[in-house]
Amino acid sequence: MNPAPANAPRPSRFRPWLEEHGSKLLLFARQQTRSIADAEDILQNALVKLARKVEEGTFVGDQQAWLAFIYTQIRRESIDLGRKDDRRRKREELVVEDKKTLGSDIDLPHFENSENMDETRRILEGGLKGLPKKFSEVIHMKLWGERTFAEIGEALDISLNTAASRYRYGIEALRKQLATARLNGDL
Amino acid sequence: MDAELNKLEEELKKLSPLGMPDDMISRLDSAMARWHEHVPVEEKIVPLNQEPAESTGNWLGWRSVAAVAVMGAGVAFISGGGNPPANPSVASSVSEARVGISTAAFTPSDARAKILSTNDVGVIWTKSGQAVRCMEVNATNTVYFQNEEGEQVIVEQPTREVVFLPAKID
Repeated sequence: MNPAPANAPRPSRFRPWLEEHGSKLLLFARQQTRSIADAEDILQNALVKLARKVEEGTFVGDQQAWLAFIYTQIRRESIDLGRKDDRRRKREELVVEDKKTLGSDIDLPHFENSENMDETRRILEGGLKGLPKKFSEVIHMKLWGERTFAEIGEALDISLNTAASRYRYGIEALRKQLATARLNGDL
Repeated sequence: MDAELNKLEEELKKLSPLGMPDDMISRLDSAMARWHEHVPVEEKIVPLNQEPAESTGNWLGWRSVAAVAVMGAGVAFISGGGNPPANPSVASSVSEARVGISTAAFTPSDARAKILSTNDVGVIWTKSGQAVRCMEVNATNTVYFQNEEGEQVIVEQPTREVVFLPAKID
């Protein structure tokens, strides 16, 4: 095993937690943004805020509450980023193009083993990407973030019932996509 | 939710989020370790119009001498038993340091202004298109008069002024 370089920074106390939850947080951040770079930016901003609160002793709750905090912060950061982008486009008088022509990495897979995935999962992944954001973000938080509807409501500033409704509607929409694929002989 | 949707939920859960690359983990971890180097945006913002602090100061060099002279004349009338001054507000509040003061001439020895409160009325636009913030300032002006015999009379006058400050509009 090669020793770490002498000038390599020491891992912070957050690293183990980051290694455990990083992928699902990145997934949510990518769902909220247009590129992996933007996703990493807003995720980093959210994580730094968490680190600040924890180290300053102002964070309310234990480590179990970190995840809920980060989801909320990712959402807020993505909203801020969206506003900055809108202002920049207005200033520069750029036309907002279809995201598929932007040349960004928006179409890169979100899940592992995309190439070897069976057709059902491939359709589900595509369906998730195509869902309106307000439905897909609830699904992401519920299934991979393992958040409760109450926590989802708090993070997205909606009621618990609205969160549950959007989740059911999103899942139902995916079910219909699968049903259509079967009718078309794709499955 | 029915069985079919539950089954779909289970299928979705089998999707595993793409792992975060090691270099990204390191970058994020490093950023978290250096949290103290990041200043929140809200701490970078300094309000443009702050509430003016309560202040007292030497008023003589700031306000017109004529106003002081009017007060002095008013005090002279009161102490000399003369006719009421033309400006009744001058004599509205007089406290005597001693009972039975003489009629010797009093001259102002000190003057102070104390701001009691301010009220931000809001931004208005002048005819020339300039934005100005309208501030109502309530203050108390205190003038100290003293004669050759060391007797002192203190005159307090409440004032209310409206000032206009240039306002920055984004």
